[in-house]
Amino acid sequence: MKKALCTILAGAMAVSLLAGCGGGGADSGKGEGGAAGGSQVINIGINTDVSSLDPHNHNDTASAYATRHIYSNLVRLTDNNEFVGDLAEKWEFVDDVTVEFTLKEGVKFHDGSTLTAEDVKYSLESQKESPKVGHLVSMVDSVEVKDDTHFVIHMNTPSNALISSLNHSGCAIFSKAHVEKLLAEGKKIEDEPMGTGPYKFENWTPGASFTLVKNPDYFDSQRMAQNDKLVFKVISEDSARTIALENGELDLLIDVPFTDAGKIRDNDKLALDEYVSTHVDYFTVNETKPPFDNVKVRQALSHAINKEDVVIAAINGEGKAFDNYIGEAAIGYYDVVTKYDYDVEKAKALLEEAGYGDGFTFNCYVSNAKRANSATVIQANLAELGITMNIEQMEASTFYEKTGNSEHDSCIAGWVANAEPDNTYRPLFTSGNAGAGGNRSFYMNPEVDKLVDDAAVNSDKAAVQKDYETVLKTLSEDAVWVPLFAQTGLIARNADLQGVNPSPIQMHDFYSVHY
Amino acid sequence: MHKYVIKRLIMLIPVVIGVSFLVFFIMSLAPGDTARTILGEDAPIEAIEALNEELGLNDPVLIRYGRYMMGLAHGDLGTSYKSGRSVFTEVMSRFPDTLKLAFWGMLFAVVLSIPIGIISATRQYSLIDSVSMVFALLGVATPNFWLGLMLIIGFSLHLRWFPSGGSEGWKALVLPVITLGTGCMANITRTTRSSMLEVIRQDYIRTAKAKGVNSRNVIYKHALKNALIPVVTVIGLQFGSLLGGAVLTEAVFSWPGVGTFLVNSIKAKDTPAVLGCVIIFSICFSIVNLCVDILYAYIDPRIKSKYK
Repeated sequence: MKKALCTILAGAMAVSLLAGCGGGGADSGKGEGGAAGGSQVINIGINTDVSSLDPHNHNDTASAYATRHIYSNLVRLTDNNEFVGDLAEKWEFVDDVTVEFTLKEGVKFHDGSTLTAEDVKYSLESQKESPKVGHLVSMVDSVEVKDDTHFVIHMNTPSNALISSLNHSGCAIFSKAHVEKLLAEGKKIEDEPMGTGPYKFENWTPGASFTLVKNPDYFDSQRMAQNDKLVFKVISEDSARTIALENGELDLLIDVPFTDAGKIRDNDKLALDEYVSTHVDYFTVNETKPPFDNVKVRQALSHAINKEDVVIAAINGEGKAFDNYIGEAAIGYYDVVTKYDYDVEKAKALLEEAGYGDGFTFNCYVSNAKRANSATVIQANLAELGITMNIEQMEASTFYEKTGNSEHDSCIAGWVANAEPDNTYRPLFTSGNAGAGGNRSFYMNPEVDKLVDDAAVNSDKAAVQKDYETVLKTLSEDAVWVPLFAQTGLIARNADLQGVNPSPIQMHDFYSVHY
Repeated sequence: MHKYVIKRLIMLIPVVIGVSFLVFFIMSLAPGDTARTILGEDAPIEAIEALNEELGLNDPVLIRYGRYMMGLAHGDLGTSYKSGRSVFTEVMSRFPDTLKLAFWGMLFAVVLSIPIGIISATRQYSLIDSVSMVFALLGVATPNFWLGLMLIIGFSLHLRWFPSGGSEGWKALVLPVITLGTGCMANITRTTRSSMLEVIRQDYIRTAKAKGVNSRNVIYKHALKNALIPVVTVIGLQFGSLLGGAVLTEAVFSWPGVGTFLVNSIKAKDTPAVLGCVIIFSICFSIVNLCVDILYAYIDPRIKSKYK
């Protein structure tokens, strides 16, 4: 009995040891990079893991870092906020609902096969079935293939969002033959991701890292990878991420903790790149609840909040106080809003006028520590007017549900505008999206609804601009939000690393990064 | 003995049913919209509705639970809402790393703490006893994440001996093992000491000494074996809980273990992933407990006779 037991226990230990030695060997990516030349491996620190390597099965930034480099889209956005062809050579609107596309010739997938219009048709039509990114192409009715390099997109309604949507990572173009082969073998797209992008997929260790290697046959010589390998390392703990950059385990850090920005600036061996992002944080009230249905009260709040203090408390000064409703770098930004200065006396006068000179009490929901810090400043500012604001911090999922159900009096939220202005204006300010759709102010103005609808389908660019300008003016006159700050985008790197080209909408490309 | 083991293994079935029932209903009571959490703040409402429909989240809780249990009865832990991959694959891709950390962390703790506990007990109130008890107290009181960060600053940032995170190679294992082992070590040292103190005051130890058995044999053959029962219990419990993932240590060292996966799944309201993790943990925990019980029999023949 004793012997048998000893054998079992020894066996169990051996198994544990073997299991221990077996894990984690899959990933490589040691920092071979450096000024010395040779193979350039760029280690990039990110704070969340990839959720999926299938562009149709995710809609998050971390996964897009992987899929944007593996796959290509029909169009891409330049630094000047212009849409240019990526896989598409050119396109032309035949009428409001018909667009003719011509593909670049000789574009090769990573397996050597040639891209054809059939691949595009297959990709866009299967995307329509995806609950995660199908909505991006909801305006696409069908894709008609003319020949290998020509196809026509028929839309079910006129839409200005088509071209910008085609730039979204969800609209990546697959190889039809490859996907059909995978599905026939009972595999999924993410088991063997393969596209026409500047990098080929090498491996992914969930929770730890993913590795991409240069595609030497990439079709766009202007955008050919200038490094050999990108290793994205997931480090969720803020201080650990900065330390990994300081001790050379990382070459580049995307999600720079605000509190460490100063330390990185002071380090000679490191550099901190700042860029204008489209990230805006805002405080908003629920307009279905009195006294917030009164525009004078909302204007009083706008004058009462000291945004400069909020910038310091929430993001350690890494941004600027902001008055607009959409980020400066975003398409659809116009500097036309009414600005409310920090003026306590004016705020008091407005409150008196509205009949709330004695103040009132309300709650403010927030979903993370940064926004709780903003709320604390606002709480102190409002106390000067005799207003009591109770802060309630909760998990993001709870926050979405409660604010979606109109349980809040006010809340603090944020927004990162993407390449399509309709994706900002529609969810945040139209009646149809009040609540869970994103309009947590419950602002309902038929005039704004109409302008947003018109801007989405009007092919006259000047008219679209006028629509959006009117929307912005109306929003600010109605004091729908108190925009708090525009957050500065930060990327930290080894001082010798070059070619970092941040994207205001956080869809960074890393092909140009090199020592 | 065999019958006992088989009975205990069969007992796993009600444990799994109970655990899955509790977790499923707690998850369904928690506020928050799963699709909104997965798709993010900027997803349009049609996309949210489409995803909730596809995941079957519009069905009543009991129907969803029934569906889950049907799958479980066929050995299917379900599909993660967030990644769309099999939960079993997701957990098992991380489990070797969790096992590796738990095993070496425990080994580090056991190898150091049992001798220290014995020395402290045999030389009660000596300098070495006081010093080791102060360290044990500090070990229990030191938060894991703080110790982890201090080790990273010292050994990774300044001395550059070990990497600050990741799980590649033995070097990456050193700092997390020390971090995790320190807390466990403190507990085991204190338990060993108090258990030994109790045993060495027993009559049979005095008899052994009186008969002239040398003190080394008295301690290691007579006293230690009798003092080990509570120590083995503590080790078993701690090892069992470590298999559930050491969330803070994993976070500080970017260790790709099950703990982080579980926490992220809870945040995402990914019920199948949470359930899968908890079911696998509860099975592991029960098996470790069973091993501990079997070890009792090996350590103490009186217990073995009861199993018959």
